[in-house]
Amino acid sequence: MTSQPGEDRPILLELLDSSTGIPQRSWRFPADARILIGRSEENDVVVSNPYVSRSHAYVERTATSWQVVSISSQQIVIDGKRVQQAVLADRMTLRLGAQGSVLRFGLQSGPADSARKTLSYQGDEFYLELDRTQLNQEVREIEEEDFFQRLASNLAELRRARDG
Amino acid sequence: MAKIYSIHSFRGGTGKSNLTANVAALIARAGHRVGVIDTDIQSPGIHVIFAVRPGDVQYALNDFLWRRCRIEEAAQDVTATAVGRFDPAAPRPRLFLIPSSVKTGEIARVLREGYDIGLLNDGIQQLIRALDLDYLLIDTHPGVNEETLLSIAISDRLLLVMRPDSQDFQGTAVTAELARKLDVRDMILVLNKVPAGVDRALLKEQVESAYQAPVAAMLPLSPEMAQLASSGLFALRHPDHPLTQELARIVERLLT
Repeated sequence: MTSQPGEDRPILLELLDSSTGIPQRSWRFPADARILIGRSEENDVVVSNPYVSRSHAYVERTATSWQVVSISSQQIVIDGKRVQQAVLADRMTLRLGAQGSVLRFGLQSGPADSARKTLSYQGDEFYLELDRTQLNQEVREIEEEDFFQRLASNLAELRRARDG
Repeated sequence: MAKIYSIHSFRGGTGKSNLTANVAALIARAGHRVGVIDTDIQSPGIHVIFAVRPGDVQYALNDFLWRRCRIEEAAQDVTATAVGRFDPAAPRPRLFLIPSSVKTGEIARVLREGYDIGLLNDGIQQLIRALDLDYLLIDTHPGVNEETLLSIAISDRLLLVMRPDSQDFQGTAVTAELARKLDVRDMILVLNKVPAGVDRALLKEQVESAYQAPVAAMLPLSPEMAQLASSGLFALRHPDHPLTQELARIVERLLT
C-alpha cells in the first residue's frame, strides 16, 4: 500500500456557527478512528440541531483517503450538492442535511501516534497536560473575530449596565 | 446588587443543566430570590428538571428575543418545585425559571436567523430589576459563541463544568482563557461524573495547576443522578446523599 499524504495525521472536526461560520466546538480524533455523527448521545460528534438525524453520518479513513458516508435519508450537502458519500479534503465543509449543522474537516499536523493526549490513564494513574499549541491557536482565532473584539471593547459599558 | 453566575461547559452531556438547577434550588432554599435563565436555546432542557411542561409555558425566552413579550413575562415561578413548602406572602425564598422554547420551529428560527445579543443583555438586566433577584444563574449553550461569551463577560463568576476526559479538558481551557481575556477573574471548576477509583486528590491538584482556578467540587458518577436523568431535582429527593453534600459545598462557595 502506498502511503498517502495525511493518512497518519489526526483529524479535527469543527462545528461551525451557521450564520457566522465561527467554530463553536471541535473534536479531535486519531487517524484510525471511525467517527459517528448525529443527534443522539451515542455518537462521537453530537449535534443538537433538530434537522440532523439521530444517526446521520460517519467519517472514516479508507486505504487512500478520508471519506464521509451518510446513513440518513437527509444526506450530506457539499458545495450545494446533496450526496450520499464523499472524499474529504483538508478544510472542506459539509452540511448534515439541507438545513442541518455545518462541520469542517481538517487534518492536524504530526502523525497520530505522536499527537499529545491531553489526559492519559495508565491503570489508576493519569497524566494531564493541555496541548498549549492547539489552545493558543483556538483562542487566537476567536479573539480575532469581530464579535469578540466588539465585546472586549464594550466591557466597561456592559458592566456599568450590570452594576446599575 | 444581584450576582450573576454563568454555568458553562464546552460539550453537552456534562450535567451542566442538572447542576445549574440543583444549585439554584439550594441557593433559593437558603432564603434568596433566584432566577435561572436557559440561554441554551438550541437544545433547551432545564425546564424538565423543574417539572415545567411545555403546555405551562405561555412565553419563553425566544418570545422576548422576538419582541413578543417583556422578559419577566416569560418567568415561571418554580418555587414550590424547588423549595417545597414556603410562605407565598413572604418575598423570599423564590425561584424563577425563564425557559427556552421547545418548539422545533422556534429552535430552527434561532439556528437560521440568530438573534440580537444586545437585547439578551438588556433582558438580563431588566429581569434582575423586575423580579428583584439576589442571584441570576445563566445556563449557557455548550461551546463558544457570541451569546456564551456575552453571558460570561457580564457574569460576576463563571462555573465551568467538565468531565475528566481529554476533549472536555482541552475545550474548557479555551473557554477559561477567553474568560480571562474578558477580565472574568472569578472562575471555579466543577468536575462531574468522576469515575470511582480515580485518585481525586491528584486529579484536583493537576486540574487546578493546569487551569489556575480552584476546583469547587468533584461530583461522582452517581447511579441515582443518572436514573433521575433530568426528571427531577436530585438535591430535593436525596437531601442526605453525598452528591447533595458536594452540591451544598458549591453553593456555600457561591454565597460567599
